[in-house]
This record gives sequence, structure tokens and C-alpha cells, in this order.
Amino acid sequence: MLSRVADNLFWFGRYIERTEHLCRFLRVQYFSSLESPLEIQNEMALHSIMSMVGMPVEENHLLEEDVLLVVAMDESNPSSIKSTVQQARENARGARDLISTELFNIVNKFYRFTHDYPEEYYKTRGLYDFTQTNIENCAIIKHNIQNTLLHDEIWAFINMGLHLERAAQICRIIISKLENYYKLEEMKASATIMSYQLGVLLRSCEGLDMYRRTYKTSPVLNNTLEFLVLNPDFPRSILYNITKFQEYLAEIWPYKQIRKNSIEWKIGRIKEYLTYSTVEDFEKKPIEFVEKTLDYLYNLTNMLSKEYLSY
Amino acid sequence: MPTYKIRYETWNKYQNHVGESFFSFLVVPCGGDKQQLIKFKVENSLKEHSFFIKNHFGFNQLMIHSLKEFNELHLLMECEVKVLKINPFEFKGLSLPQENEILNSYEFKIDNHLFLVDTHYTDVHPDQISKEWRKTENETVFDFLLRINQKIHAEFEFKPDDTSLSQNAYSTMEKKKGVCQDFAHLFLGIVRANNIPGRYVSGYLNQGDEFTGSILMHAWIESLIPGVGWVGFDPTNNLVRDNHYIKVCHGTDYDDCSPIKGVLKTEGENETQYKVEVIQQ
Amino acid sequence: MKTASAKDLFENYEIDIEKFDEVYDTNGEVRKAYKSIHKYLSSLDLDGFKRYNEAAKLSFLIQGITFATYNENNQGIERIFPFDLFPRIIPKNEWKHIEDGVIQRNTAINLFLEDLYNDKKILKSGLIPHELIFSSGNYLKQMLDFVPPGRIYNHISGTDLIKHKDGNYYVLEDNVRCPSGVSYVLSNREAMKKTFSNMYKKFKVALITDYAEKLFECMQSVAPEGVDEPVCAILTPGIFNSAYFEHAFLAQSMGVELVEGRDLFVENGFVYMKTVYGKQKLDVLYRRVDDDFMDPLVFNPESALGVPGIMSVYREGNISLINAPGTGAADDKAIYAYVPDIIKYYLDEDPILSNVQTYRCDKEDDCKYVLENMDQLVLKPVDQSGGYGIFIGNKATKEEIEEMKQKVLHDKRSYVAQPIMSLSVHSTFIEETNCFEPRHIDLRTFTLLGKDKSFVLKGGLSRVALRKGNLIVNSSQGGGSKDTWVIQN
Repeated sequence: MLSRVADNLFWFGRYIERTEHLCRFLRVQYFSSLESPLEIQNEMALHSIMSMVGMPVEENHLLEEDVLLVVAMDESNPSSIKSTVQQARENARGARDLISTELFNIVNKFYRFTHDYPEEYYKTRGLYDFTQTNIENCAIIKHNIQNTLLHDEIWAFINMGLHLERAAQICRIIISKLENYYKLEEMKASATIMSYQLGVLLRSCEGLDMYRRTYKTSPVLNNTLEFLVLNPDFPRSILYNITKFQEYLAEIWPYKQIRKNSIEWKIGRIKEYLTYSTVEDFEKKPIEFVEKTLDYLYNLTNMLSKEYLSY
Repeated sequence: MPTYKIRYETWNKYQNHVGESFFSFLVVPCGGDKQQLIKFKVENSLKEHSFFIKNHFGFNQLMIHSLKEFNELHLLMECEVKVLKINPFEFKGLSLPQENEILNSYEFKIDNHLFLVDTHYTDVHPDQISKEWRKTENETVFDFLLRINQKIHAEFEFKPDDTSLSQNAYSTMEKKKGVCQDFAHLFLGIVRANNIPGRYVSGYLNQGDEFTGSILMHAWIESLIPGVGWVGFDPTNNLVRDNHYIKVCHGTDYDDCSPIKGVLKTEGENETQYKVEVIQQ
Repeated sequence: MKTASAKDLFENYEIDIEKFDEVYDTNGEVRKAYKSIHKYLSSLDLDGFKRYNEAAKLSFLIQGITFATYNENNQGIERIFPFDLFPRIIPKNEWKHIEDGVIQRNTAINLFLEDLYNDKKILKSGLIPHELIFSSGNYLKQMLDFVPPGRIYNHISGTDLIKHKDGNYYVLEDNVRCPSGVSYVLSNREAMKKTFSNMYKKFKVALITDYAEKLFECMQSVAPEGVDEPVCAILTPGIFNSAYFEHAFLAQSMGVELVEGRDLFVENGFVYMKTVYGKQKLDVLYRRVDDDFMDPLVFNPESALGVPGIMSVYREGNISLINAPGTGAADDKAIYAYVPDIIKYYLDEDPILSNVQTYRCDKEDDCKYVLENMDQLVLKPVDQSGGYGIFIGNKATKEEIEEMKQKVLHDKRSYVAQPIMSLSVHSTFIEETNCFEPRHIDLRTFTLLGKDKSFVLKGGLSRVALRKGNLIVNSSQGGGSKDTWVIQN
């Protein structure tokens, strides 16, 4: 397979996953802020939305409408939802001859949906519809990835993109929401509010229900961290996604001899490290820990590009 | 039979990193009936494997492809060439009518069309071609070429510090000065305007004698004399090619013969230097 | 709300006896080949037909069968190539004539190209003025004294035909520089099958699904010597190219790699692809990149679409290019006038398909005639394609005629003129008026030449000039297309 096409497939996976997370995050933040008891929570929600798309803002008073537009509709903003969908589609086009017609057509249809979505409608009533339909489309696309492609290296590169992006997005969500959490703690917010804030974090990762099944309590900090970072069975935990990434990477070149400092070697190390970590190791400084993990993921992307995707 | 030891060395510096690169060098002397390549060695600072492929005139291009990142490329080519003794005045030409008949034939024009059509380098304005640049009725092609060779040498100033490497024949004619490439292009413009085929030649010149233009790669022309073949003329030195000249390649103009061409993934400025040594053994 | 009656769809149809109508004869009777399809379409009411029409359009959009024009921030405006549901029908005997004609023509063009780049016998014979060839920018010195593998230059030729009011086919143009459009033929057929499955079943329409297979065979047949299982690929300028859909479509249909210039490099006299497992040698390249951009070392040095060194590898015989570079020397509109002579010269046969009378402005007599009869002629620049720069005399104002005269006088080599041919018309659904109206059509045929084999796609692309009265059918000029059915008589 051409390196450029592998690059397209990898980024196709990443953009689909990114779109899904952006949509979910936007929806959860927006609707949870509607029922926040504190004004500051509303403000925080808007700020965390902006930082999720990589546009952190200094000023305090953000206009809700501006934020919601920039994040979803603004085609000149490369991190907006419209843009990520377009990127996903352009990358799929770059590999169009290798993926199934079913997969390409649904991606293209998805692109047409977001591209033509009326801004006015979105502003007034469409936020739920827009984000929800997008999330559903991402699900259909993933279904097509799993069920209409040969499970070969083409499929593996897309999946590597999906899992790497998911791990990165979960890191960013944790960082963003924990910052809010500590701010509220400083302000001596009530235990209910603190727990609510962790609930928002879990919902942003679509993990509140499974958290409850695992811990049978309302969210507390160390359990939440353990669940999102180290749970080996929860498909949105960081460990789970790194494990998957390693598995798909092994599909590319099954009998490859693993050299020191190669990507295979590095991913093996981080996986072992996380597998034998406990939440006590980092609950004191969780943001620092997650930031370090995020750096690690960036590093993996660079190595993957160098070793497999350069052209 | 003189033997020459030739050393060509080039340094290329780039302002920014070069990602992927592809180089083509036309610096290795060609084989043929007048010279023979005996030994040959090439080294590059990228430690990349280099290989030969022929260009569309059949000359060996030395090529290098690299995916390595670099800011500087150094290339060294060393070779030994044996040049046959040539007496350019020793040939039996055709009579004037025979010569004219060939020059005017369809067959000749079609077979040599590539060297009869001007390129942007060789184009001279018709107004610039006054009577003394035209072949007279009583002149053979050889005599005409000798006269023009001498005329360019006598009337044009050799100015090596001229910055523009690639002025065209039109402006050379206007400025009355230039370097060997410019004189070659002008000469080509003149022969082609007289319906005589001419081609650009790139190569080396013996540095032992005090020839003009020998410290760098040299340029001269070859013209097709009916019944005789291609004969080399060097207007820079007012000489007909003999065993002081080592040919690398020919083409329609400089573009077909440029010693170094690169296609690089990089941005920004670059700087090229090169050095030539031609020592008779 | 008034329900449109069955008759409405063809109610306003006007038959112009000055033009050849493919569907109706001069008495207004439906021609035999069209009887049952006409009956079927007449049985649909407007709403029903429009539903089909919208469904077909949507299916093109969803499949991304679009061409895009890009603005400065690379946000493409995508359009579908308008598609008409009323198929053009060509009876089998008529098709046989076309098929024989285009094979003959393209075979002769192939021999002509080999001669032009090698012995140049036709020039030495004086049949074609050598200045005409040597002054053409499409005649490449990089191709001289070289014969490509299998002795094929124009592996893929697009010959454009029209039907004149005399009912005969004429060749309008030869396209031997990687002509495009074949993916539309195949997609149109899919759309037709889906939309009108009932009706389609009844006809014995000649299949076109074998095109990809034949193209692949053709590519393999011209592989470099000694390569038994050649690695083939299609070279595309990239996803922003207006024909990218076609490139991807063909790669997918043949199961070959779709590569860009940056995926390839030259080493040791061969061309390689950069893959995730390292380099892989490439043997046959169907390139959809113009000559000038193929190799920055010998052509346009600014090109990032090509592969430096590939021309040398080609001349070494280590890669095959489809089509050969330099084929443009043969499809130039000034050469067009000589094609009948070319057929006679190389094949010693009379041309099966006629040429349109062509006046070359660089010939004194012709030029005089052209200047005196501008209002009755079509003038075309010789080196443009896509319908650009065409001047239609009877549609031009006095000033425009005067302006054109000056252009011709200024650059005679660059223009040819032809009488205004009356292209045949075909019933076509017009959205603005909600009914069928006659529109001008032509036919682009696709011929494949491989080593010792030839193939013509049965049917081809019928292009429609959607604007009323317009004669230019190119998609860039507001043209659409129809499926073309070759059927048993």
C-alpha cells in the first residue's frame, strides 16, 4: 500500500473520531450548562468548548452564539465540525479506490449533510439535531469500516487513526474538565456540584452509565480517573485505546523484528507502564500525568509518520 | 593521443532543509569516435547510490535520488579521458553546388529539424542579422563557419563576471559581450538563420594552455557540414575543435546540457558553486 | 393541483426539419429504434418522471460523481455532470460502421505518430508540410528516435462524432491525449439500470461493463519487455483535479493503485512507488497528467505533479506510459484536416468515417476563403480543447467578426475553420420547462489499442448542449450527457 494512502486512511480514521468527540462534547457541555446551578459553570462550559477545538480564549465573557457557531459551522476554522467532516471526506477521497463503495458513499453523504446544514436552523433549534445526527453518522461509518472492508492493512490503518485520536480526545477532555473541577474546588463549591462536574466529564466520554455499573456510586475523583485512564475493558479509556492501537499496528507487519526506539517498541513500553499503574500513582497530580500521556501520543503519531506514512 | 585527468566538484547549499531530492548531472565526458572514457569515479556527501540513465540525445546523466534530509550537497567526479588527435582542417569537402543541393533538400531539413529551429536562447531578431552575418553565395559552409567564429571572437568582449548565466542571443548581439554560453547561443542563432544545423556543446577545455573559459565548464557549438559531418567551433577562443576539447554532451541549447539539475522539496534560497580541473597527463 | 397528463412531457416538442432529430423523422413519426422507449416515457406523468430524475441526480451526488471548481480557499463548489434520462439509441448496424471507422482512424493515427517520431516518411513525401509538425508545441523532442513498448502511442483515444442533417456521422475531433469521460458512461449506465430497470430489461443493450477489464488487458499488453506480471497504476494530479472521480473509479475498477507524482521516484533506471513496506517497482503507468507536467527534469520544471527522471526511464524501456507523451502532435486541429490522407497513406484504405471540411488559415487560399466567409464558419484555435475559444460565425456580431479577423491575420497557424455543421438533436428533459425539448448532441467514442488488440466501448458518451440552440457540448460549457444504447436492430 502506498504510504500516502496509508496516511489518508489514518487521518480519515482520526477525523471521524474527532468529529464524533467534538459533537458529543459540544452537546454535553451545552445541555449540561443549561441546568448548571452556578453562572460560572456556564462560562466554564463555553471556555472548555473553545479549548477542545484548540482555540483557548483569555477573555471572560464569551458570547454563547459565537462559540457555538465557530465550533460547529465555521468553515474557515480548521477545527470546526464542518471542517473535520470535510477533512475526513477528503482523506477518504484520497483512498477512494481502496475502500468499499458503501463506506465512501456514506462518508460522502455525511459530508453533504454537514456541508449543507442551514446555519440559521442550527442557531435556533438545530444544535441537538446537528450533533446527534453527526454522532449517528459516525457510528454508521464505523460500522461500515468494520463490516465492508477486508480486515487487512487498509482497515488496520483506519483503526489506528480511530484509537489514537480517541485516546488523545479523552486526554484533552479529562484535562479540560479537571481544570474546571479544581477551579470549583478553590471556590469551595458543594459536593453535589463537584460530583455533577465529574458526571459531565464522564458523559462527555459517554461513560457515566458504565461508571455506575462499575463503582455503584456517584462520581468521585479517584474512581473517575481510574475508570477513564486505566480500565482495560471500557472502550473509551486511555489504556484500552493504546492496547487497540498496538494490536492494529501489529497487523501491518506481523513478523517485524522490534528494534529499540521503534514505534512498536515505544508503544509496548507505554502499554506495560499503564497496565501496571494504579490510580494512586497519579491522583495527586492527574493533570500533569494526563498531559504527559498526551505528549506521548503526539510522539507516537510522529513516529508512525516517519516509519510508515512518509512520502 | 593526449590523456586528461578531469575533476569536477560542486557544492550546493540550501537555506532550509531539503526533504526529498533528485539530481541529474551532465558532467561525465561522453564516449564516441573522438574520445574515450578510461576511468571514472563519483562521490556524494549524501552517501547515496548514484546511477546513469541516458537523456533523449543519448548522453549519460548521472542521477541521485535521496529521501535524506540535508542542507548541503557536495559532489565530486573524477575521470580520465583519452582524446584522439584531431586535425579539423583535414577533410575532403563537397563542391559548393553539391553542398547547396543537400542543404536545400527536404530530407536534410527534416532529419535535422531539431537543430535548425531556434529556441528562446538562440533566437536573434531578423533585423540583427545584417549582411555580414549571412553566408555568401561563394562561401562553403566551412568557410562561413570559420568566418563567423572569428567574427564573434573579434567583435565581442568576454566578460566572465556577467551575472546572468542565461542571456539570449538577441541580447548578446545588443550588448556585444558575454561568456562562452552566450557566444555559443549567438553562433547557433546565426547558423540556424542561415539554414545550417547547429547544436550546443558542453564540455571541458584543457587548462594547460591559456584558453579563455577553461576554468569552468566550457560551451561551444557543432555545426553540420554536408558530406562531412558535425564539426566543433569555439567562438570564445576562435578555434575549431581539436584535441584540447573534451565533450560531455550536446543538445539544442543550454537547457539540454545544463551540468546540474535538481528537483527538490525545499523552500528558500540556495547557492551553487563548482570547480573544474582539467590536467593533461 | 392539476396532475400533469401523460402527453405533457412531449407536448411542446417542436420538430425542426432543418435538423436531424434522432428520435423523430421529418414527418413527426417516432423512429423505429425509439418506438418502445418513447412509449414508455410517454406513459409517465410529470411527477413520476421528476421523481426518477431527482433520484438519479441524488445518486450521482452521493457517489461523489461530481466535478469541482475550486475557489481560493479550496472549498470546492461541486456540481454533478447533468444527466438526461432519455437514452440515445444506436442500432447495431449503424454502430458497426462507427466501430470500424474509429478503429481504422486511430490505428492510422498510431502509425502516423510512430513515423513522426522516427523515420518521418510522411513528411519527406511532402504529404504533410513539415513546418506544420515542427512548429507544433505538442511535438516533443524527448520522443524522437524511440518506439514505445508494443509500438502503441494512443492506447486510449476519444473520437468525437456528430450526425449531420444528411443522417451521416462525421468525425469532429480526435482526442489522443488521455481523453476523459469514460467513467460517466459507466456511471450513467448504472443510474439508468437503477432508475428504469423494467424498461432496461426489455432491450438487449450491448454491455459496457468490460471496459475496465479491456483497459487492464491493454495496459498489460504493453508492459516493458521481460515483465510477465506488470505492476500497473494510474497517475492522478490529486483529489482537487476535476476528473479525480474518474481516476479513482478506474483504479478501483481495475484493482490497481491510484498514485500521485509524490508517491513515485526514479532510482537505478526504474520507477518505484513509496509504500508502507518500502519501495515497489512500477511497470505500467496510465497517467492522467499532461505531458508538460510529467517530468520536471525535461518539461515544465515547476511541476510538482510528475516524477523527475521518468522520461529517461521510459526511453530505457523500463516503464510504459499510457498514452505516450507527444501524442498531441496528432490531434491538433490543424492535423485533423490531414487525417483522411493519413489513413490512406498508412493503411491504403479509404476512410470509413468522413471528416468535416476544414480550412487551414495558414494556407493562402483557405485563409482567403475563411476571411471572406466568416459568418458561415466555425473557427477553432488549433491547440485548445474543452470547447474553449470557439468562434461561431452566424452567432457573432459585426464587431466580433472584425476582431476575429484580426486574430486570424495575426496568427494564421493557430486557427482552422469549418462550415457550421448542424449537429443532430435529441429529446432531452429540460427542467426549466418541465418537458422534453430537442437539444444538440454529439458522441464521444472510446477506442483502446494494445499490442495486437483493439477494442471500442459499445456506445460511448452522448454529450448534450443543454442551452437551447447551443452547439457546444463540453461539460465546462454547460453540457450534460446521456446514456448511449447500442441495440439489436
